[in-house]
Amino acid sequence: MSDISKFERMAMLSLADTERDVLCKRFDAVSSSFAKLDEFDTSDVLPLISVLEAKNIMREDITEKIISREELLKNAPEQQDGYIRVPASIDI
Amino acid sequence: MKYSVQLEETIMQKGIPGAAGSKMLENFIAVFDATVVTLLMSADIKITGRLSFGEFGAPGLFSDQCDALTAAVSSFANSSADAVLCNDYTGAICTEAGRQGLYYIHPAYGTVSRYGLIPAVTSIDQIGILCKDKKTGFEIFDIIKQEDSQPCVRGQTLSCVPMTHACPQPYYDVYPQIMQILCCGELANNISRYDGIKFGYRAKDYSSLDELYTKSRTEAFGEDIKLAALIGAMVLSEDNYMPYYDKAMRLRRLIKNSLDFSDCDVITATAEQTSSFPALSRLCGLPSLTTPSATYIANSECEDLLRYDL
Repeated sequence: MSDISKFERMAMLSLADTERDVLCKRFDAVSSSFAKLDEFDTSDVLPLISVLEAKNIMREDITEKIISREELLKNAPEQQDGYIRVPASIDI
Repeated sequence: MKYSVQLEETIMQKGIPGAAGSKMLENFIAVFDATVVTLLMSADIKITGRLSFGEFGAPGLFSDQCDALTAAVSSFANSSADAVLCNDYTGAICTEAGRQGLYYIHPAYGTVSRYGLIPAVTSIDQIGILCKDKKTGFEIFDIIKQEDSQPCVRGQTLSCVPMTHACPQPYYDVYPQIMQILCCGELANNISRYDGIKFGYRAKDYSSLDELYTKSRTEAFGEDIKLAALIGAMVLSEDNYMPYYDKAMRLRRLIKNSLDFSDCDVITATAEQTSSFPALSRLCGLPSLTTPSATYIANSECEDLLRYDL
């Protein structure tokens, strides 16, 4: 089985051992099938990043819709005095 | 208009919960209307309910048949609603629609506004219409599309060519892998916004910011989303980006270039072939129509062709 701990960290997950085993098996089953890509030579092809290879249409940067602080904060899991509460992220 | 429409939970309607089938967003209340919601309301179409096709639509990525999806499609089939707006980025919803005798209109990429749609796979995301009959579906499509499609030149009779003639064989077998690589990479990127800070689920016990992030995500995401996040992290990582994500994008160009519309208006596939066919329309951003008996793909910006008797 692959060691998926590196990808687990990148995905910001911390899996329990049993869950990691299950996901590892599924990860291997899916990723091993990616070898199929080796059958194709794409060295002289450019990647197609978006099917709309058009330029973005820009508009003037003027505020059109305003969502109030109160409304936005309604979805914050923890809040205090009109701010989102988070654990300390710097050492003092 | 007399129709009633249901929305997938990923389409936001102000004041209404929009969980996208995820514990991560179980308490999330939309703070604005998606453009499609505004358009439906201004046409006096009733929005009558919400549906989930699995967490962020990801289950369809690893299997085109899963219980949550089958149940959601059949609950619509048995409801009085005329249509469901949803983001079928994997093609699993339209495949299930065909199986249950329903229709699915997948507009060309970029035709319908995604403002207010919870993003999953940015290069494929597109709101489509699951419906009970084609005529109603296209009437609702006319309301939610932003601009008129480009006029398409059409002869007296529409010429349909089978998939086997219009798309070279070598690519058939590699669609699922390309879809999984692109979708997982982009999903992993899009779900990185769920960190337990500004909105969404937050774990109860944590001692640091890092622990808040990882615990919240681990506790709230389901297995398929975790798998997509792991595969996404893999295909976007430094060592694997070129052989996987970049290569999948190159193959996407080869496939798009290989489609030959020179002698036909529409490419068709029978229900038996359809498992890879929806992926084709999504990879290439082409409009498609799924019916109980077949799937049809039209050339870019020519979804009007799909309105005719095929």
